[in-house]
Amino acid sequence: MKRRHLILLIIVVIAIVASGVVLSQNLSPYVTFSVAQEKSSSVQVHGVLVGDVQTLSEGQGIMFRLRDDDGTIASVAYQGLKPDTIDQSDGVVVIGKFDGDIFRADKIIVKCPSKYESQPGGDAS
Amino acid sequence: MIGMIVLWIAAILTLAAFVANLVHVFDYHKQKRASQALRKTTQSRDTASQSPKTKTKTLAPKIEEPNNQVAETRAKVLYGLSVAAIAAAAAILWIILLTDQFTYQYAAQYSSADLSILFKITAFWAGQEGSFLLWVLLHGLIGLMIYNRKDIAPGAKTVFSFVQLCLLIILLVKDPFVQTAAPLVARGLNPLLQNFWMISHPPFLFLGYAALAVPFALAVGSLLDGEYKSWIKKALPFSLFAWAFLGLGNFLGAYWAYEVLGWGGYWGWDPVENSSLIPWLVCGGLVHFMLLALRKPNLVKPSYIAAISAFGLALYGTFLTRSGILQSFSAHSFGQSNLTRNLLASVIFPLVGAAFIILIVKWKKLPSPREEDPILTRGFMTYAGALVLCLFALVVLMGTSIPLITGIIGESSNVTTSYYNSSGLLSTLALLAILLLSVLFPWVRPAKAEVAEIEEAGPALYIKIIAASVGAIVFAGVGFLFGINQGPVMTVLVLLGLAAAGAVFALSILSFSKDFGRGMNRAAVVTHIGLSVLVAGVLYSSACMERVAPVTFEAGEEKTVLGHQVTFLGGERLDDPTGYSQRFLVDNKTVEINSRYYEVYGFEHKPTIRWSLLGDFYIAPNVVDVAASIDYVLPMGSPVVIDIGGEKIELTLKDFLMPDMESGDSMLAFYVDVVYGDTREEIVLNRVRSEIGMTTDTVVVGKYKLTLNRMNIIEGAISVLIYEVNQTQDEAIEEAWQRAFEEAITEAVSHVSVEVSTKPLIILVWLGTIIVSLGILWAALRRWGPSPFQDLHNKNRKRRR
Repeated sequence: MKRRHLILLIIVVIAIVASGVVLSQNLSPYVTFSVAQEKSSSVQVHGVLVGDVQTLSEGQGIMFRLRDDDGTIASVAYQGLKPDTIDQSDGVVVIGKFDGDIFRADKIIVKCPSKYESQPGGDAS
Repeated sequence: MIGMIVLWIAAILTLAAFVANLVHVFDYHKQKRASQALRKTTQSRDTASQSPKTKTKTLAPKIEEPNNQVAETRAKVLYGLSVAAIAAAAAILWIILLTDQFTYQYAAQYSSADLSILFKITAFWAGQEGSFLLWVLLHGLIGLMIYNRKDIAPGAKTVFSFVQLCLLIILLVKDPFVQTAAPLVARGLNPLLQNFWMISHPPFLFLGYAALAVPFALAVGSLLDGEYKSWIKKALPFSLFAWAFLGLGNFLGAYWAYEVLGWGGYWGWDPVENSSLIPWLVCGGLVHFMLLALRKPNLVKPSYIAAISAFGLALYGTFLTRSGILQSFSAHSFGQSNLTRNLLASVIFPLVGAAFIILIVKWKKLPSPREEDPILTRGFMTYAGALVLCLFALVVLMGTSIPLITGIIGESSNVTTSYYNSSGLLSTLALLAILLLSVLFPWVRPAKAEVAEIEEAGPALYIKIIAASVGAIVFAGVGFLFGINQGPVMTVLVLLGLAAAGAVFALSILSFSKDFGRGMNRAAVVTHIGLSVLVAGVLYSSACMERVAPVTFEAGEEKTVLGHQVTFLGGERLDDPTGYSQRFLVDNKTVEINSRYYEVYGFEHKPTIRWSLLGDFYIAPNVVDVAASIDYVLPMGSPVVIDIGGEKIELTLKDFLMPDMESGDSMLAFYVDVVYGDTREEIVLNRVRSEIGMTTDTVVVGKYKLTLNRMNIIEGAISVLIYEVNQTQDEAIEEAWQRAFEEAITEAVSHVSVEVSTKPLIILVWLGTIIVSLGILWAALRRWGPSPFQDLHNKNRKRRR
């Protein structure tokens, strides 16, 4: 083993360990609301919108209710504007964690196959 | 129909070219062995008889030339024909789009008669099938360049045609020429995609992918041919072009996201973005490994790994994004189908796997450098920097693939963007630190005699260090002035990153002068300046960003938002297509949002930007809903008041009757109390299943008709359609929609709710991307000529003497 190889190996190992640590800290599993309630770290929940999206007062963002895949309904708050097409969405993924009874989302992903694809489900590509 | 036939012809011709090439490769090897054997025998004879060496030289070519020529020409002609067929298929798709033939699904889906010619042309790559065709077309055109070069061995040409065959197989299944008997309704191009940045970014990206196939083919081909060194010099210009175009593709896409999408940024670490970032990073590593290989001809192993990985990762990215496997982890939408997934997996993984297996088999035969660069040299630093670029790619790859990996192990997880942000920042820090050291050290460690010379140039080193410090302090200081609103750890990392960027910037600028930039390639210096500017721009605009949402305005209202004076000036209705504009006065400059309504896509939804040198003020408006319905939900027992054309009707679902299972026809009956004006009525809405299917009652109450629409027996709720007696159901829906549409426009011009953010010095991001691209393109053009690196090498040698 040459000295240079050793140094490179050390760099690679440090990089892998460091990114592994960062990765494990930032891993946010796909769960249901009931599991999310028990976790203190960030998680993602997939669900469908129940009712309307309310715009809160100045600077407070929005709030809506989401039914997850198990049928549990929770209130979700998000510091931002109402996402495009959330009303016609097939589903919504919220990423964040519970703060009391309210799920505080850092990010919302709206699934909307109909927007770019005309035949969802089939081999529409 | 004809398009498909042409594609089949292209595939068959490609297969033929591939076979012809294979034959050529075998010939080539046979002859090589023969001439080697011949040389041995002649050599032994030479040594025995001491006859002149010219004999071998005249003998060997006589056997080789004619055969090779025929095989080579045959392969070249077949390949040329296959590219012509691909070009014909592409021309057919363009003709279909330009002549509005909406019996073709692809045209109907991405084009429409009223689309401008430019967008009809670019609708070519709006969908997956067309983008694959574009990729194959560009691949073929680059292939022509490869096939025209005599100095490229047959092995590489074989691999290149095989890759083309794989792409064509995908295209044959994902047929862009699907036709229906009757013309379909043309959906038109999504208005979000009708944008200069959007239409220009796929061609760049696919040109990058196509160029990336060249180092891949040359690497794998060289393994087949057994020529392990000469390929690198030939592949380098293509790798540089691939790097430049992949970069441009990414940058244009980022700019589109910033200007059009209104997600609030140019980069979101979305799988689609990541999957084109990864090959770009690895390609950067590849270019640096190749540069090293030109200096140290035996250092070929890293280039092999990087060349195969870069193209393999481009294919893997295609698999991730086109197969819909990450559907639930991305805001982008893809078609989700197992057919596509299996198809892509069965073409891509064997191709890349085979390349790696060939590499592993031949690994022992690959040369290794006899002596290594000492650590404190530019050579070693370049190596380390290239490695860090690849590690950065690995980090992004891990994050992007994590949903798949964790899905296999157990609970499917995704990573948050802070994973990418922190590990990306760490990688960038390492990269900049290495870059900094590489500028400080010479390419090779000076010989003892030269140390004196170095010491003579002593002040130069001090000037370098002073310049680097000044750069670091200025860049970090500016960040400090804007205010970094991050956590403590991130703040430190950001400041370090800015300092490193500043130091690299200052040192690189200094390298332009003859005294400091000895042995440095100007194009590389420009690229590194661009990198430092880009990094600084990214850090300023994201770490110092402020955001607030929602901020609501009435027309004419003035507010101070994030330190800026903002007035909503109101808006007006737009026509053709109908929509509205909203105008804002931000720091005495008017910015405007135009939102038009498209039938398939709804209102287009774009942000607006108050541009300034110090930073952008970014306004993303809320979505305007056109919530029109004549469908009203009635929960069991609770009265619902409906306002219809100014009149109020109160409806209460009292009771329902379950079907009588005994009798043949099943019937559901709902009892609803209706109160309007002074009258009160009880009506019954029936749903009957009979031989002709479900039939639903329509009941007339005064001026209105009520029709049972949906029902939910478990929760005990139904919905009814209510409309005027003299209307049909469709007319009523249309009228309600029109009313809601007008209301939405009236609302939008008088009242708005926006998300506002500041992006300090974001102009540096664009400036950095432009400089990086120009630098790489310059480097590519320099290498296009026949004498890469030779001058520098000679100069160094002269210097050492």
